[in-house]
Amino acid sequence: MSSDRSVRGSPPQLLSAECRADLMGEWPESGLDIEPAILAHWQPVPIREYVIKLVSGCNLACDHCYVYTMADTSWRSRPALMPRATIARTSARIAQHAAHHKMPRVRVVLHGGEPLLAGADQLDYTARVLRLQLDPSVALEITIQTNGTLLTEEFMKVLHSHQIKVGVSIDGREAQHDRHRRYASGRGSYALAAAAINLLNKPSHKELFGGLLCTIDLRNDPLEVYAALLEFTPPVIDFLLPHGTWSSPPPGRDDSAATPYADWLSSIFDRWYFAARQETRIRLFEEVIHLLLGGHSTSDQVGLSPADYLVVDADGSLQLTDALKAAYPGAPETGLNVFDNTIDQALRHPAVLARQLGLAALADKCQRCAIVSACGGGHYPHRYRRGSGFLNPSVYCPDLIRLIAHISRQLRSSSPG
Amino acid sequence: MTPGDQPEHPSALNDLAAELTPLVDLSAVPLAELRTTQSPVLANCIRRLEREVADSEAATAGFNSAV
Repeated sequence: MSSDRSVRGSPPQLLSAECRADLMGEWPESGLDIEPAILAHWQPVPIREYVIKLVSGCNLACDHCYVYTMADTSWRSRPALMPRATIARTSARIAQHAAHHKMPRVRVVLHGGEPLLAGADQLDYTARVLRLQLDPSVALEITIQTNGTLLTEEFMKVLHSHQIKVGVSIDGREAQHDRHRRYASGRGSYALAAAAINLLNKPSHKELFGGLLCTIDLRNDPLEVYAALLEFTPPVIDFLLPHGTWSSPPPGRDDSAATPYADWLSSIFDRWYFAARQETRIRLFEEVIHLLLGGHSTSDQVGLSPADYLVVDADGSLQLTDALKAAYPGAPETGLNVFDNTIDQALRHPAVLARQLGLAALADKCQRCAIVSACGGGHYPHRYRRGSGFLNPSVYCPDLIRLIAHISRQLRSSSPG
Repeated sequence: MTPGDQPEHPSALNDLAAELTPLVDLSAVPLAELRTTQSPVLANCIRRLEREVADSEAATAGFNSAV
């Protein structure tokens, strides 16, 4: 591929035929040629989780955000807020899909941008219309992922009325957090994020405290970050690897055998795993342990479980994971939307297939790897390489091998028998 | 499936991956004994495994968020 993707700011359906053909040249849009024998006995997994982007914009200007600072700039062309007609249509499509597949439960993540910019009334409307559209027999679980800076008692009333659990993004202590999570003016957001977590820790709100999301920065001491997060007594922490690809590697990740992210995470693993009492849950570690014990992952970062979620952007477009924005402009697009298309139609999109076929959709090297059932090829966006697409090991491959080996060793050393 | 331009693992890590058995084999350990593990983390993971075995719904991979 010779052209530079960085100049393409439009979703694929708006690209010229030439650009579109160029994009279609990479796997899985081109070359997803699964053996007929596999497809003959295979049915896509219905979509059980929806990430609804109520807001396109954000009140912060974090320099590591995959929505605003990476290859994709499509947020500029979206409505600032998801219109109520789009919310209603989205809810109807979700209900239609749930009824068609006789699903007992549906999960919805309210997301953005910063979803609290939508306002308390819009959150209330969204939750009400979702509940009204779904059959009463379908359990609805709604969560919201926020930077916390706008969380108030007014929001808490709405969140309580719909039992919406709240996840807050925070990267450690003030200096660590404010290195990235700043307003456009340069002012840090730690104080307000911490205040939001303290609000959620009030006895009257504690049941809605969902957990903390921390993006790893190798410059931060891992145990200091963990200690800082523990002070908020979170029920669960998720550590995120910074998004990057083979074509645009994440900070500190090069072609060498060095494993800085595995080393960083392993320090926290040992502190967490060998604590006399369990201090909190750490999603990534629990997933790896569960996989090593023979279970199946419920996270799309590791393991071979089929991905069961879609993103609905503020304009109603149906998209793949937002993190694909780290790859190239338009990477999350399916070309489908809630007005013209059913959710079932999205299940046949090549990239949705690629995320549901497990081992069959991994690079040859991954398929031959001894730890593939635990690693699963890593997070899908991290496999991207310009020219070949997503049929590659993760750019974090050395770190994943090292981390899984470390966890496996510690697990063996402490297992009964 | 069309092979992509697949980067190689650094060789030392290839060796490490090859040496690993992907599953921690606890099949010889009675369930009652597993439940008595002194590790609270492992105990929780074993309870999760029991729930998964009992649940008829296949596991799926959800959105990457803290909640």
